[in-house]
Amino acid sequence: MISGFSIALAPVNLLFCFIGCVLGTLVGVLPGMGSATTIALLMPITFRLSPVTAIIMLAGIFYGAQYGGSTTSILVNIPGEATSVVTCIDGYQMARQGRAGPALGISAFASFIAGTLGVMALAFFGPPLAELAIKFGPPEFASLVFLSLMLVGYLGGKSLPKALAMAAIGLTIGTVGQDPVNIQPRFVYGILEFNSGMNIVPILMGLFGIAEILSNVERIIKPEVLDAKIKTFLPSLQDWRDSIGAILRGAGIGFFIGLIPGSGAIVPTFISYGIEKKLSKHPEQFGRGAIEGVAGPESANNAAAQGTLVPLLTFGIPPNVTGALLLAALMIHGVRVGPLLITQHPDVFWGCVASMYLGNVMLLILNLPLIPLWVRVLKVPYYLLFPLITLLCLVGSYSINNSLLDLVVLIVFGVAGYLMQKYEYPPAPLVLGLILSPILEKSFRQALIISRGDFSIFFTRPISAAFLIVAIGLLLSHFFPLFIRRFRANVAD
Amino acid sequence: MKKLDKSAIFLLALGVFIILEARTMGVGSFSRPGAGLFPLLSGVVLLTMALIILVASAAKKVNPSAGKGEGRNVWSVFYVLGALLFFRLTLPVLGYSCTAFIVLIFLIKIVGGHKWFPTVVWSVVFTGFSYLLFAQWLMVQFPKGVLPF
Amino acid sequence: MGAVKRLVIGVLVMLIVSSSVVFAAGSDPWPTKPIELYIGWPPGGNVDLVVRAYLSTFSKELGVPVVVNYKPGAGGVVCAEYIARAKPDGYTIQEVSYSIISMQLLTVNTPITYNDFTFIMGHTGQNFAVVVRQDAPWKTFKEWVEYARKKPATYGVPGVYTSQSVVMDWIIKREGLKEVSVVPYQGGNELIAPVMGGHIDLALVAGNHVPLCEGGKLRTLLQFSGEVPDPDPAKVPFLTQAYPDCPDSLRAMVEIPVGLTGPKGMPAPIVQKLAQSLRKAVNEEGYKNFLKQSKRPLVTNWEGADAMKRAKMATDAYAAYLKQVGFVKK
Repeated sequence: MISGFSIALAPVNLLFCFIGCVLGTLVGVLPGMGSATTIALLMPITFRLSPVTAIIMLAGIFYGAQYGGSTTSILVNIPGEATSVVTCIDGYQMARQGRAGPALGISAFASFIAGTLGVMALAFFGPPLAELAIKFGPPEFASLVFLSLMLVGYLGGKSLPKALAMAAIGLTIGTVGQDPVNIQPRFVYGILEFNSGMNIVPILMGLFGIAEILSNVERIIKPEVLDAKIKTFLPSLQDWRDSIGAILRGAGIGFFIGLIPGSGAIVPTFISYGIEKKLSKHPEQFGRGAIEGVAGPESANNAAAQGTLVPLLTFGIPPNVTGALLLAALMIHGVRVGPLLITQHPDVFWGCVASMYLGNVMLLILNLPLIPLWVRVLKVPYYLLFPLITLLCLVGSYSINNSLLDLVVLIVFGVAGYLMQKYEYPPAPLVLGLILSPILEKSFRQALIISRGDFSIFFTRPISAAFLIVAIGLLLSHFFPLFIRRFRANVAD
Repeated sequence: MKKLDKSAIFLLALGVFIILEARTMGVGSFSRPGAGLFPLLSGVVLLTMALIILVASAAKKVNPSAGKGEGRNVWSVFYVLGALLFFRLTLPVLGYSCTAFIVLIFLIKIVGGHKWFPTVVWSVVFTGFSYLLFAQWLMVQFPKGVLPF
Repeated sequence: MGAVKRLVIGVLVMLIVSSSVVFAAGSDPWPTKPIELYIGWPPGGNVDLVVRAYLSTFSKELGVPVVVNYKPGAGGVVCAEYIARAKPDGYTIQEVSYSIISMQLLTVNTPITYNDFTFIMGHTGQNFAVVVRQDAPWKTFKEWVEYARKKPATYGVPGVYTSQSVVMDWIIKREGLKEVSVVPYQGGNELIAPVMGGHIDLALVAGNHVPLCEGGKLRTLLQFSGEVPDPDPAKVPFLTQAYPDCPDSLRAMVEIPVGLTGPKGMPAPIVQKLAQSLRKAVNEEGYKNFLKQSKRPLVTNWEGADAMKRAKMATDAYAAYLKQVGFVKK
């Protein structure tokens, strides 16, 4: 471990870590443009570097993107990455109340704390935890995702039926494409690109970004400026007191779920939000600018990013396209990623780990002074800001797959999001349903194939049973107060 | 009251559509799910929720303030949508820079309502900056249009 | 002569010389501008790694930059369609698993078939194998087969109707096993954790198992193509050794390489030039190291007419299989 730090602190590595972090932040801020594209572009350049340096730079891009993604979520309600969707809910509201500074600040600090805790957990407990995480099979996944769905009610604002309706739509959109078991096309209607499912980026940008723009241009009489008072730049002591619990819980949730190969970093953000709302003494504040609603998910997504690196470094299982690229980069440099990584290339492993920690420090130092700058972006007259954002949404959507179809998806979901705002339907449950649908259905059907149609598999396996019990508990806790009220009302009569 | 009904009715119709489509895919059974089972379940949930919302709105006496026609500037919404569609249709024909430039001018001037000079200046700046960023640095492959950029 | 006349003659001469230079440049040997190489999957995947390994030498041999573009979607079919419709001038080519060309196109709703392509050169095979977790009770494939006769057994596939699963299906039927369940996953990466955790007995993997076999977390029971990565390769039989009566057409399916294709109708000299450059690139030291590291075989005799013949054989076998299982393209 110590040697890892000495490697990471070598000037060359520090420099490239910094470069990676800056690039990653820029990429994360740009809506749509993924860290995957950037890493793919830069890979040839890394050939001239040593494996350790190369991976340090690429990993810097990976984290930087996480930090940057929350910036646009807070400032303009556009999630830079899918992991920043939940940050939009309260982060953007905070910005509208003039609290963009504290939102950005707590987001950076939460990410830093979670990242640090995550790195330590990875370094000390990573490999044995990875072995435990392998115990998660299809029934466990299905139950975990089912549990996550129960939290949909907490995402939704006032109306539970509306939240559930949106979740159901999201679940349905998630089934678009080839059925995972018998590759039958569903809701494809002859559009070739839909065979692999609908691209989530234009959907996110439409539902959040374009919808917001449409609502705003309707409200503003030209050329009025969207009034944005700026109160403070950094979180106050009260903010810290409110958030610290959320941060720590988010870090735990994020790391442990991220650890499970196949779960990703998005699910923990939703779970964290739901838990914070449930535990909060003022749940009605969520959706209106509750800082815990930013602190928890931001912490969760960073911790989860660290968590997903554990199966990557111990077994060579990449969590997503970006992870696959990191793996490819290592492979090209002649490093065999797998169980032998720690023994055969300890310098790479520990250098990586140490650089992750340094990357976190660098990103915090980078991002904090940028906060006043970002906040000033809100001061730009809206008549200039919104065309630029619109253009970025268009290009961002197009650039994922160089697809004109994605532009149409953007427009359709822009309209949908606009109407949803008008009729007060929350967009976050739709996103949750969309993301969870493939995992839920796949795992559910895989579990049933393994058990030959026997449902008890979900209840006889301990981890799965535990999740289901919590899920049912959550479901009951929603309706229980209703029953109590009805009961009391009846008794009173 | 009419407003809420509209959205719930739409969702109701959507739910029915999903259920009908799901049935054509082959639903299978719970222990041997077919392609249509999940969409069917989602459609049923949607339908149920739409019904609940519909019934709840019928019971409410208060007129909700949300509504499409009550915005002060509905035309702006249509203009922006038009600009988005224009981008989609024109991008393969004119290429990135031209299309972006036209869209920006339209949005800043017509929708944003400012004078010509700052409009043109900012459009040029944004188009140039975004071209350098996306087409050159990030190497996004835009369709080739009239101009080489 | 007068000064003006001299000037005019001078200008005329310059014009003639420069235009002849322009014409000469026009008849320069192909290629004269950068080549666009498309990949139908996101960066970092199987095919991407192969391309990155040969790209610099390939580019050098051709004398022009080769630019890699990604066009993912529908399991590689979006890209394949795009290539099939491109101009056959050699500047738009695709690196693809030739199994897409013969098989995937049969399952997705597209009018394109393998006849719409020019096969330039297939060069690298896959590492397809059947693996189990380290502490599994079966030491050989036959042991698992015996187990499967009595107890409910499962195996995971990276996709329904992939080439490996077709072969495995044949093996299952040949052994007369009736109670085995096939658990579908999406892509080889999704199989590793489940097989390591014992949720499925076997996994049909496609290369990403190599570091895990070397690291002692997985064991290979049967190798379809490529080299055995286990510490003791001699103990692991090949498909042909364990099942000598496996039909050639099925074997062709798992031996299909990745390679370059272009739209049909590419002129022969251009195809030659591309194949030549590629051959140099894949025989060079750096690429050979890549093959060694990923335990994949170098494949020869998949050029031009040979490639078409083999692709046809695999496609026909696959079509017959789909008919047999009752698959209908929707």
